[in-house]
Parts: sequence; structure tokens; C-alpha cells
Amino acid sequence: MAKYKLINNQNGDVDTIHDQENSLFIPIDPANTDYQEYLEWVAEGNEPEPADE
Amino acid sequence: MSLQLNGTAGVTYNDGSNQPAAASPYVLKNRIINGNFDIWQRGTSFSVTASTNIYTADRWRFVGSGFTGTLTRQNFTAGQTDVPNNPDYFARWDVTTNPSANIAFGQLIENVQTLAGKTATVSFYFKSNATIAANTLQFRYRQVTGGTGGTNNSVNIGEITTSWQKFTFTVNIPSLSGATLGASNSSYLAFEILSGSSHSSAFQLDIAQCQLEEGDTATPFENRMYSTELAMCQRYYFKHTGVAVGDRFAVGMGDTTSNINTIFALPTNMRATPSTSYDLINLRNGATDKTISSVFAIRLFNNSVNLIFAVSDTATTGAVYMVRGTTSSGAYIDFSAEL
Repeated sequence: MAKYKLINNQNGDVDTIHDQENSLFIPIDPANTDYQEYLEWVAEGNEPEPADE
Repeated sequence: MSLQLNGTAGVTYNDGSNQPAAASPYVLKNRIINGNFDIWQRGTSFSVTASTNIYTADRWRFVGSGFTGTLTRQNFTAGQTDVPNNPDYFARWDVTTNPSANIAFGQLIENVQTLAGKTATVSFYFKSNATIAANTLQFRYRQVTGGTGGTNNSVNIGEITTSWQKFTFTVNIPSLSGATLGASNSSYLAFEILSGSSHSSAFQLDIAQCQLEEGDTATPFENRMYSTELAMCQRYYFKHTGVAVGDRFAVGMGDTTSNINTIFALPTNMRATPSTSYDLINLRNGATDKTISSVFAIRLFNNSVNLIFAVSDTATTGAVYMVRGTTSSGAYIDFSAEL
């Protein structure tokens, strides 16, 4: 299980990130530090679990 | 009796009443939030194992990794005078495994331009269960811009004994001339108590009445009203906790058969769109409960936040749902916009 999983909204667009280790739902907001940590994690070469179809 | 002005006693009026010396020319002078350790929304005892950057008492967090220990709320004895002005609590930081790496406990103050280019004075009360030699711990202050530039400085802390002592340091917070700030609202001035990489012994540190103020003098600790301090904390974190089965947290409506759209009231405007976590809550219409499977949208509108929940049961489009606790204790939802 990846640390993060993408969550789609009703339109099929990624709207939140689920931190599966900490049971945390993270908004896509550049000022949110959890989102910043997610971006750093991706920049390190990690890949999130894709959103459910 | 004439009006008397005295630098220590303050102003004495002709009826004998006294206004103590003004602590500072600045209202809300203390840039540290919850410096008196009055607010503990997340709990009052935290165990740290191979720590990450976790928050404890409101606004206070650990930085660094690899240490094991606890952070707990402790009570002052009523009537004690070692730390003035009758504080209720202090924080106890116990480090049982101290790695050969920097570990710190402190606070990130929103906006790196806070006190930049100015003289500032920090004050704390410390004690320990065993003497901590001078220069073992440091007071560290860092300017993190989110863009380019920034600084990292520290000052040694003197010997900490088993009795409460007030420590003060006057520092020049560097100017940010030449630096550029990041686009997002997440720059900060960090204020931290540091155990550096050369210190690998276990220790216990009791911490009370932390203050950071402009100027070259440590003035008396600013006792803000509880409601003011709580609101200041809730700009960064708010925990809504149920105390009985069925406590209602918010109201919503079925958008579709799989989504329920809710609005949560916030006590104040948060710094950024918050992350959210929850436990032991569901959505109820009448006597029918829907189980939450995820949160797929989080929107911040001034002092409310809109969450859209995906549910694993079939919801009714257009029906009203209440977010409710499913147990008598432990149900919560929280919102974090910490730095």
C-alpha cells in the first residue's frame, strides 16, 4: 500500500489526497503543509495509489 | 497625593490606586501562541517513537526524527510562586532515547517577516529532574521563506537546574533583504528549544511561560484571556469532539446516492484549507445511518468548511443528513491548517 492514495471527486478529477498511514484527507491547496509534504514525497520519485474508478 | 510615576511600581494615582508598569508598549506583544500551555485540543499526553514532526499542545511541535519520549501536560501547584502569575500548566518533555541528531520542540510563527530586522527578546521558565549542563541545549530561531534566502541561528542555554529559573535571550532577528518569499502563505519564523547532534543523553525538560517580544527587554509574561488564546490556536487547528452517542457535528444533504455534502462551522478563519481526519462518526437521516468511506472534496469558506463525503451505503439524493458520533466517547473530526 502506498503512503498516499488519490481521491477523485464526482467529476472524476483528483480533489483530495488520502494519507493512508495517518488516516488524513488532504486538500489540494499549495498553502497546506500536508499537501506540500505530499508534493515532496512525489518529487522524491514515489507514486501515489491511483484513485478508484 | 499627587500622581506618582515610577519605573518599577508604575503609576500611582491620587486615590492610592496603582497601575503597574506597562509590560510593553505593544498590545498582544507575545508572538508565541499558547506560551502558557493552556490549550491542549489534541490531548494532554503524547508518546513519541522515532518521532516525526508531530504537534502536541496547541501550536507546539517536535522537529527532527529518531528520538523516543513523551510530551505531557503537568499541573502547577496552586499558590506556588516559583513561576509568577499563577499559571495552571507547564509542558514536560521527556527524551528517553536521544539520537546523535538535532531534535527540537518549538513553534512555527506564521509569516517569516515577523520581527525581521528587529531586536527581539525571548523568555522561558525551565527546570529539570537533574541538572542539565550549560550549553547542552540551545534556543534556535530560523527564518523559512518558502522561496529563497532565510536564516538559522541558535544561542546556548545556561545551566538548567531542578528549580524553576527564568532564562532570557535578546537577539537580532536578521533582515530579509535579498530574500524572496514563496507564493503560498506558508513562510514562518521558527522558535525552538534544540538538543543538538552532539548531545545524545536522555533528559527531562519542564517548560513554562514562553514569550517572544519585540525589544531588548524581557517584560512580564502576557496573560491573555483563555478565549483569545483558544481562538488564536484554532486558526491552525480545530478539533470537534463528541461527548455522547449521537452528538451532532454538522449538517448536510445527499448530493447523489453515493455522496453527501456537508458544512462544518469553524470557530475562526483558518490559515489555509485544512486537512481533516475523523473517527467514529457517520451520517444519519432519521434512523438510517450511512458509513463514510472517504472525503473527496474539502473547501474553505471563511469560517466554515465544506466536506463532501463518499458513503459506502446508498444515500438518498436531496435528503438531509447529520454528521454524528457513533460512540459515547472518542468520536471526533479535526481540521488542521498548521504550518
